[in-house]
Amino acid sequence: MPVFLVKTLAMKALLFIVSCLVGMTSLANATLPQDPLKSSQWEYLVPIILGEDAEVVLNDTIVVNAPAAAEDSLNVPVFVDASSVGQVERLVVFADWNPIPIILEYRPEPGTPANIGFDFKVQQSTPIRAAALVDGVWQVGMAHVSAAGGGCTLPSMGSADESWAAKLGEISGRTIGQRDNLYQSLLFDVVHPMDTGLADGIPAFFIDELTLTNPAGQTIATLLPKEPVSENPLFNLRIPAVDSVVIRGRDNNGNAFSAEIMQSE
Amino acid sequence: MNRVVFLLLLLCPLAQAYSLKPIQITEHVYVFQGRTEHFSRDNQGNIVNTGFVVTGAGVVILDTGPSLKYGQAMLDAIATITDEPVVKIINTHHHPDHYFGNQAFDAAPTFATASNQSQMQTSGDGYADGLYYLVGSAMVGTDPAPAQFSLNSGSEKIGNVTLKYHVFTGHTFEDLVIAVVEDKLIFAGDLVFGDRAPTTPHADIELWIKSLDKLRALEFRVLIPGHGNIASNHSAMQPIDDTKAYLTWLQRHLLLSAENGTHPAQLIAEGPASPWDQLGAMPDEYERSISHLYPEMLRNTLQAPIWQER
Repeated sequence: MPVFLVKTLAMKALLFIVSCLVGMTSLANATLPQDPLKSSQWEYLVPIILGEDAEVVLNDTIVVNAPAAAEDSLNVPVFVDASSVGQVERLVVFADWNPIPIILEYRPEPGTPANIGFDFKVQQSTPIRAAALVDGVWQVGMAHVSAAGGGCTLPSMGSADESWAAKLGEISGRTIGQRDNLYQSLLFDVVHPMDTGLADGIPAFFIDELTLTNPAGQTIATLLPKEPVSENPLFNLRIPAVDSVVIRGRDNNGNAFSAEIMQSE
Repeated sequence: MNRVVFLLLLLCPLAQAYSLKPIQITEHVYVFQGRTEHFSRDNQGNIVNTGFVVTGAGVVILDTGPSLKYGQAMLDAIATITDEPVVKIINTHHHPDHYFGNQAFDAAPTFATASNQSQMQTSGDGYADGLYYLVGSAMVGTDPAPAQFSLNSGSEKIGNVTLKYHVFTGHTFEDLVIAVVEDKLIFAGDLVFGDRAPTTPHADIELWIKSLDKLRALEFRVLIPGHGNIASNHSAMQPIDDTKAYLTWLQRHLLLSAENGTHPAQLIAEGPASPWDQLGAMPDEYERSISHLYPEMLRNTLQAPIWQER
């Protein structure tokens, strides 16, 4: 074969590959807005976490409060308020650069605001995204936390202390706000090591479901924590005012626990 | 030629890592005053007040700064003031900005209280990780050198100077305060901050406030705070009172917020109230304090449920 023909064919093949790549990127970008935080994980994670054909819009009215710098990589406080975007079906919070990106998913029932505070373990500096699914569209708010890190690959404090087993699943809590208010805050914690499985020789061991119900037995909200949620997790939720709340939980080893928190005076 | 310029540019930031200027405060005491900021690459960790006492029978070093290079810069600066050799190094407590320069003073013994010695041994590497991350290249070569000998409350005469050691508590478990008796000067360490937000990673606020009241009763004319502005004569009490006022506000504000069930991330978003937001190292130190002090306060407000099954 003449050399010039080989060259032409090679050039055509190259052009074809390049045009395919360009086509692919433009296809992936068709619905996904540019990431204001310019993280290379954004385009990679969104299809995996929110779905291949997820419709995504940025919404800066979704409040994501987090410290600019993490003082304690094992306990980085995050508060998300997505109540501005209407009735949220699912609220997924994830950290781009954590080895396990999804921190938790919150599913408020109709009438319950998408409002949640928690702490998580951070591995390195990362954007934190709160994606709220409303009428089939993911509305995304975000913040950035810088961190020296290491939180996800450290063992829990509890795993070094035998006494945790006796208290596993123990719940304490209280509600804040008057009985006649429309909403009140529910604050509760659960004794649990929440081990990520990333520390040598310690398997993943974490609460993966918490359900809140009112005295009539109706579900108020469901919380699906993942490995990055901090040890002995403390949650702060906004719920419709009730006389009491029943919390039912379960971990990935099948341990079940439940408790009823009374409306405080 | 270009290559030479490039090499010089590379070397310059290293050569000029710290420019420490000794300020003479009293007859025997000099201070290196740091910036009223949190650690950064820009300030190279030079955010602390260190000092030295020229006793007539050798130089006593009071804290050694955040890095090996800082300690070396102290030695260079001291040589412009006196020919006396360094005879003793004292670390007020185990936080890294007060002892990571120890490495530069290998010709003289280093001292701290016993609990601080053991804290330096157990937490030094963790602190080093943190400072290398925050401060960067100015830390090069720094390897934590914990104090070698223990020191208790009491006094000693070195040359023409009497040093009196007071052990307080609150900022850390043991906070050493050094009085230079003849000069009526107090080197207060991190019990006192001058126009700079106090740091609280190992703080017990109630004990700290009690210690400030005791410190106030000592006899002195000049006070060197661990961080921030130096106070003398009529204003010598001011940084003590300011530190106490801030800590009192912080404690009350956090307790009230815990009672209201405010989430720590919301507190951080609100930021410190006026006039505290005007202090140096704000809002960084306030955010750090929320992480150090608030989670326990918030959990303490929780109650047992009316029933539970496990």
